[in-house]
Amino acid sequence: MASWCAAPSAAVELSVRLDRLEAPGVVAGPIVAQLSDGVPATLQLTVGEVSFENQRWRNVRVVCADFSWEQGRIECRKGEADVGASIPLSFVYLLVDRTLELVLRPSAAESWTLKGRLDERAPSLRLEIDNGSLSRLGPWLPADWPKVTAGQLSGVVTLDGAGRERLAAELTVREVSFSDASGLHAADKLGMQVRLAAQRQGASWTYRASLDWNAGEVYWQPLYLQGAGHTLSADGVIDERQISVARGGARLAGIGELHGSAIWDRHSNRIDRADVTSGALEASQLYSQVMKPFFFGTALGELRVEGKTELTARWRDGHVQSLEAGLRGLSFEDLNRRFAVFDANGRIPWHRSEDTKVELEMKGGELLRVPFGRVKLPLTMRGMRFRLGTVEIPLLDGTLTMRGFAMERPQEGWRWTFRGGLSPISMERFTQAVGLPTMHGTVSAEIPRVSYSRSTLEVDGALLFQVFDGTMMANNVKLIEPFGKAPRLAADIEARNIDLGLLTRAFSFGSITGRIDAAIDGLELANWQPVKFDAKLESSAGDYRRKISQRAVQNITALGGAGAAAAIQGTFLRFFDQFGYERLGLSCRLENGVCKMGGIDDVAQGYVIVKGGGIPALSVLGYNRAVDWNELVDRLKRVIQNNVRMIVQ
Amino acid sequence: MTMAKLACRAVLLAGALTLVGCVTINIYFPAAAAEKAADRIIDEVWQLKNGAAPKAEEPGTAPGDKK
Amino acid sequence: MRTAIFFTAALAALASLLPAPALGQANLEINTPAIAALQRSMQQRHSQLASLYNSGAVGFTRDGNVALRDAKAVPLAQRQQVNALIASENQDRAALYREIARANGHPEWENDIRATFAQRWISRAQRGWYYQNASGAWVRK
Repeated sequence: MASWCAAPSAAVELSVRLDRLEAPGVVAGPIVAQLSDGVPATLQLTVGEVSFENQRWRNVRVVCADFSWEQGRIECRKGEADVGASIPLSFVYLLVDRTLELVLRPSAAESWTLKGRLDERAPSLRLEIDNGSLSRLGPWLPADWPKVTAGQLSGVVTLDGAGRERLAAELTVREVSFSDASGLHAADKLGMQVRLAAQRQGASWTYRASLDWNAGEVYWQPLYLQGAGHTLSADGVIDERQISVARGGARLAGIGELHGSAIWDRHSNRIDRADVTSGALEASQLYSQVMKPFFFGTALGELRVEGKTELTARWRDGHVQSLEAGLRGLSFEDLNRRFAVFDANGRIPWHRSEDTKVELEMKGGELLRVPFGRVKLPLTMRGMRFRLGTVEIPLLDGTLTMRGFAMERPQEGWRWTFRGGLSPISMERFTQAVGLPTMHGTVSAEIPRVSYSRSTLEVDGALLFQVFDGTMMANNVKLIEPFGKAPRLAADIEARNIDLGLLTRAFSFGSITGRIDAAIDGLELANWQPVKFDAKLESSAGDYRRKISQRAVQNITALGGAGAAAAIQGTFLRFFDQFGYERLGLSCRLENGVCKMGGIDDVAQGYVIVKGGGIPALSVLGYNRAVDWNELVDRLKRVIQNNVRMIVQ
Repeated sequence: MTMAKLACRAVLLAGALTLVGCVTINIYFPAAAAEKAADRIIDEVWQLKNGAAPKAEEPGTAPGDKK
Repeated sequence: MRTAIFFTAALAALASLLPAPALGQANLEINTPAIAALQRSMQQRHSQLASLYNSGAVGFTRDGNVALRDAKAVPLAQRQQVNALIASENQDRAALYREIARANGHPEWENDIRATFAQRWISRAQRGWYYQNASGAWVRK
């Protein structure tokens, strides 16, 4: 293994050359030792190359300024090793006991002490580290690992026995920082305690390990976690093929506990199989600390979550094979108030390739600010296909029924469809819920097939509403990106026999008694505001009371500006509360922010909006045929606001 | 685009005499108008209307040192 | 005996509303509610993004988006938030390009609009901000 050749030279010097030294994992050579017999004696050791694992050092030099070798005791005091940087060291070796004690002191507060008994039958090694600088370990770590830039390591590592080695380590790291080149996997000021015990049996090691993480922060894209007292523990076997965790556990501070087992395949570098079960987890912390960053930019990206959940996951052949979530009083609410679910309880089992049935009940919720009541979801799932039996959702004082709901996720994204209906709900409660001016009457609806795919929601057939004592029909309804920042709605709307009394009362516009038919073709809303339509409304045919209040007339004219509003005040008409009319109507074709207006009849330079009838008769004419839409809406808003304190003199 | 339509109409008028049909005219992307629109929106988003530099509020991010 | 009063009043309603100014032929329509909403949302976000542009953490890509260029310019605890900020900004930008194309009746222009914006964001960017050049490398302006 080694060849010694002593070369006698000057009387005071002894030179020893060792061509090659090999030990498990270590190859070194050539080694030249030069001893000079001064007072004190000095030793100079040079090694051409040392390699350990994948590390290589060239021209390593160790100099002992005070060296002695007497009575089987070799001692080096005031030594210094030069491995690129110079490190003060000292060692003592007892020939009979074959024990070594090597102390490295790279800096004042730092020491690495290796004590060993190099006995072949009962060898033992003990490494004591006090304030060891972790950045020294940099070259030892795999090249694709994040680079350690700071941190100290203290603790003891021992290795005993021959053939069935026992390894034990108890280490504390402090103030550790690391980062990869991109900064997406980084940590700062980490503090951890690691305990490890392992024993070799042939080619495999049986281990037991635990880790307490109590300080610092880690960003491991997209997760950000703080060391708030999380602990991990595992025991299992490591061999050439795999790393197995027979019993693993994690206690995440603020969230809860997880247990499980796993096998990591070292050849394919992936999880072969894993089973994880959780205790009751705090859903709010689980969402905000773990799940939220995975949902950025989706509808689930900004939630407030409450309640508890239990999770079970099974991983096989590189895939999640099954997942089961138990919900206990789980509530979540979109911070933009688009949806909410309150107090959901039940079991949601999911399997990659088998049918599963969900048992889930929620006490209530909210959809677009409209509250709904207790719902039971008869949901079946298989892979990415979801099917729902008929669901009746209590909505205000009515019921929303959904039939034949089916959802799946092919390549291009989520796709779903359903049919349904809405039994009458009070407009009063509905408008209050969504924050509109209070309207009266009821609304009910017939919902034909609604489908969603490629970010577009489409209704096949007519949506039929009963509202304001009349009917309203929406055809060709299409909603693009309903969950996006700027949803777009397209529809053709037709209304018959709308009770103007019920409608106008809502907007404190002054009352108009009567009925209208309306048609809004090619309606386009962007971000829920109209950008295009061709609308026409006109008194319905038939016999009914036709009255328009003084206030309503004033408000219509006030839309034309302050001067026009004053006109009525100058005449005796101001003594009347209301007027009869024969017909009224208005049309507006909106395009590019301009409304092209018309009435029921044309007159010289204008059009008739209200055609008077009865005594006294009063007609309202419009003269301007092109009106700026935003200006019109602003004036309408002002009129409605001013009405609160309007006085008819 | 309007230019394209006008051109098309002119061709139609002449068509009676010259028997030149109106071929489908591609509507080209109005690059200059798009640039102008982009600039107006960028002005708005970056608040550059008075030529003032956009104010960087401190959202807690330390302006790191630059290479 | 009753006296019948018969009176017809013609009131000029909507008389003084101004007609909208005629749209210049050379302009693209950008005054729609959707575009306004996106613009507002991006404007509100800009104060936060501006300091990230300044620090070089975030730069402009050649496809009209923003991207994380150097996470290390941001404190660890805020890197997640910066990622969320970038995701929302790019979502708004995508919607903006699409809305402009749609508002002008040519949804197929979306990519041209995106390309135009990509180039304008970069040429309007302040000195010191970073952008991706044609080969995808980061360049400091």
